[in-house]
Amino acid sequence: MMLVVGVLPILAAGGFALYSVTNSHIKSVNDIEKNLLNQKAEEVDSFIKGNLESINLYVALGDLDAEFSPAAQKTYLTNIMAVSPAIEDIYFFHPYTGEITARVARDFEPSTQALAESRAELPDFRFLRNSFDESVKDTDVFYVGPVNITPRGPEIEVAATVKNFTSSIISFVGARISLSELQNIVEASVLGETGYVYLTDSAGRVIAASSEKTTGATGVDVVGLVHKIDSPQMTLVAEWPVSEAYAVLANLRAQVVGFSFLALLAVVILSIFLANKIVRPIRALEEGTKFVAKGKFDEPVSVKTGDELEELAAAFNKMTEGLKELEKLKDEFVFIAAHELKTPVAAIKGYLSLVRDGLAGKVDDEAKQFIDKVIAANTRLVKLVEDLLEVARAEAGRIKIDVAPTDVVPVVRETLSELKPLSDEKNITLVYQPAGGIPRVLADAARVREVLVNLIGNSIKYTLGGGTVTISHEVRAGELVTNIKDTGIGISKEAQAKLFEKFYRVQTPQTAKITGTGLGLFIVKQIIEKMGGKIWFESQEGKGSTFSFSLKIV
Amino acid sequence: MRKTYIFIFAGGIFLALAFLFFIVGKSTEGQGAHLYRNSDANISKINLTVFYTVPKDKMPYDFETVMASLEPALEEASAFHSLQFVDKSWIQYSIYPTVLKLERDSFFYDTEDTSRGNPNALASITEEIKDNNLIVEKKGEFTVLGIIYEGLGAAGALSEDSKLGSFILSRDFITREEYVLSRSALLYHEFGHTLGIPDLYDLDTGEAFTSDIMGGGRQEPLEANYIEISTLKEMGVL
Repeated sequence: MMLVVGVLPILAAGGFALYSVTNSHIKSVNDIEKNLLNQKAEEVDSFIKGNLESINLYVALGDLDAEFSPAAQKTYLTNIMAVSPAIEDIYFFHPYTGEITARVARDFEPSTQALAESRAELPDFRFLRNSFDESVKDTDVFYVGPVNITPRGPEIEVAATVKNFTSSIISFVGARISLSELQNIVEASVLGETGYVYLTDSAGRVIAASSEKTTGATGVDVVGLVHKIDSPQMTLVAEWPVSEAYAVLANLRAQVVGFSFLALLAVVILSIFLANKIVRPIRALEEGTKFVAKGKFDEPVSVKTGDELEELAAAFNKMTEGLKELEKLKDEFVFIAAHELKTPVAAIKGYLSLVRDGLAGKVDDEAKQFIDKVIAANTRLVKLVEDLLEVARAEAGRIKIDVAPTDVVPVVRETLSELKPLSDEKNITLVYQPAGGIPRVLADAARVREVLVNLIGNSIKYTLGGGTVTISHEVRAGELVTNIKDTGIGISKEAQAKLFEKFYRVQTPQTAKITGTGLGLFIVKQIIEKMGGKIWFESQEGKGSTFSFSLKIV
Repeated sequence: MRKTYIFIFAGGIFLALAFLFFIVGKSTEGQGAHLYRNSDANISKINLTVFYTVPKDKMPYDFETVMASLEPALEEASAFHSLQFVDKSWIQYSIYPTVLKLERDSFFYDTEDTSRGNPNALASITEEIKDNNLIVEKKGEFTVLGIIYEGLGAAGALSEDSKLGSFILSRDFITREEYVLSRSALLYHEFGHTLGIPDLYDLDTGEAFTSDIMGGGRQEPLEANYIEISTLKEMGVL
């Protein structure tokens, strides 16, 4: 959980930073390209317009035919060409017939046939004829043709009207403009170290380029931007290889990823450390409560955190000491109470026997019945007091065990002999057929007998309506295991969990009339464990139980 | 039922894509140039053989002089072609090493109306050269026959099966000084016809519809010439 809480914000922050910086940089690259293209477009536009202006003629003459002779026209054209280095070819042509009236070419003398050509069917003538329309009479009208790729370079054809001082159209003028200057304009583009700009015509043919790499066909990823020019139709393209344009992003990405990774690592380590710091004391306290639940008050919790958890642990230990003291007082009380009760109950038993036997006077049958009931109750009380004393001694560690090599077989036989009347009464068969060679065990014979009396006695008590109680032995891993198996009512799963607890007795309709203090199995377990053995059982409700205990073989 | 619908849907998508590809057309990107409005006739490589032909009854002009003018004109025309066709087509030319004396007198070749550039001479001489197995056709190349004729001539044509183009040009255009500026353009103009490109000027009035080499530009120096974008588009170049 701490990992998630710590990691997610870092990843989110890193991702967001990367995203916003990336977007910002992309926009910056886009702006750089855009500004460059705008600048180049302005230069191209300025070039085109400048040349158009050079053919935007107002001739201070009246009528064309009378005063603007071919010789004068040729001189006029020569002068224009002299001041306009981009003009390759310039000519006047008649505004009605389209015939060329004068022409000057920069690098050659036009042939007679060429001079005899009419431009009446050509697009510039047809375009300019529309300028006779009154609605555009007073405006400067230019024809700009598409880009043509000639061996001497890219060119455009342009044309304009020639007006006199009254703004009447007296002629048309046309020219071929070399676009070679655009190469200089485009070549001067600077776009990082590897970026480039190129200019294409309407058909996509490259007219000018700042680099040999003029199209994406090189296979290199580029960031591109285009700017359309209307007249003539051309397109300016800026392309910037991604490897340079976004180089800073690659670096930044690496830095962000690296930093995020380091932060992530730090968070992970810190999380583990903090978790341990917080969780370990809590686990210790949890273990402490388990010991207390089991009645063990000698396991203090050690927490050295210097904070509230340490204070809590200290309070817990204090509580445990208090409980321990309380337990000790309780044991002391039980022991003293049981000890003090032992004498009076023994006296009661004794005097009741005397009264029943008539030593205090004649006792009729009815009185004897009453006295028998009291004797029985007192017997139970005596048993309870003895058991309480036993429990108190066990918990105080005062239970006396004298272990010695012991032959278990005769102890079992004696116990069976003692309990036979009880089993006969209930029509229960006691089965004991020990094999030869049962090894001796390290045990206190009297205590073993006490255990057997309790276990076999329970088997008889909880076998109703006849049955069998079988005692057997087996040797297992250096221990002698004694099994007491009955065909009794068995023990439910819920009861099994609490069987060895003090004062616990199974409460069912079947067991309602069975008497007992609920301390027998607790005492048996203490005795067996004191002798270094173990006790356990298996039981199936309705089918019977098998109690087993182990003792170390000598 | 559901599977059927999915199958029908997928089939429909497939048919639509096939329609777009085969019927609407596929990109010409990467394909070579072709004859004018004939995309089946590839002209990536053009094999041009030029003959200086002289009718039986005429004396040939000095062959060396003819060659001295013809070769540069062909070189210029070839370079012009590569420029205009953006290297999607190029010309490999050769000049027949000697004067080719024709089998008939000039009367035979010039009998018909010699206006419109003497197409009769073009057809007759082309047949004669073919019959003499002088044309070397190479696989994968478009063959063009150039005839420099000792007589009147300025025409170009494409055979009916579009496998052979031929043009004729009067020797005067090659050697006479007055045509020195325009000879390469005139040569290429007629060569253009062998690729199926039509005249872009009025044959009767001479008025040009365009300024490019198939129109008014045929009278201009080749270095100032170009081929119209619309023509190049019809030839798979743009």
